[in-house]
Amino acid sequence: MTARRPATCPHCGARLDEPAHAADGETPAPALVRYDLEKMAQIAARENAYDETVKVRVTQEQIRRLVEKRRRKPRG
Amino acid sequence: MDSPTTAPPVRVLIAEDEAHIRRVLRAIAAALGAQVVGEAQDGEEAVRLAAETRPHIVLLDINMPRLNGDKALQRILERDPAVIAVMMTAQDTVEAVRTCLDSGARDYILKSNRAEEIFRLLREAWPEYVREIARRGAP
Repeated sequence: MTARRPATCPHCGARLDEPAHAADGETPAPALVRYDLEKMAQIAARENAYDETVKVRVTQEQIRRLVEKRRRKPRG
Repeated sequence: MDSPTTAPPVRVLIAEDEAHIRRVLRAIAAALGAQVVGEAQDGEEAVRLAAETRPHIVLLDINMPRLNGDKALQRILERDPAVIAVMMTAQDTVEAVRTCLDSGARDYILKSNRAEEIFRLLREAWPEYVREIARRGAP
């Protein structure tokens, strides 16, 4: 006996007879969900710029330039 | 004109908890004609040996037991600001670099470099260190 397929998607509420949900297997997510994920990624990236726990890694060459710059700066 | 043959050898203190890295740094110091006056395995020992041996240069790791290298750096420079501190560390974040440079480290070398590269970086910087030592009139 097979389980009865719900009429709407439990995740996004879209009707399952719409093209995005029509086939089993690789079903493309509805545009609304795609938009939300993209927006979330953008917000996360923006917030990371101000998040002090994010570690910015440097190369030896970048360190050399930083050391040089500081040595050129007059003290006082 | 400077006479390198009559100048006393540059005294170097190595502070590193990993034995094989200490061995590499010892070999590099020897190749540069420096005299290794002490080897510390932790930050506390580095501070103590710096006071006892009065090195011109300290090669200082950051992640060490008992006292981290960045804290040891502050204590060493508080006691003797003429010491040239070269951080030798795997810490490659800009925060770590800035913290050490703000505390007075003269240079910052990543241990992730190959030994040959570490040698090259120190060899290139060495003449400037020697000039600095001479300028400061460090004994």
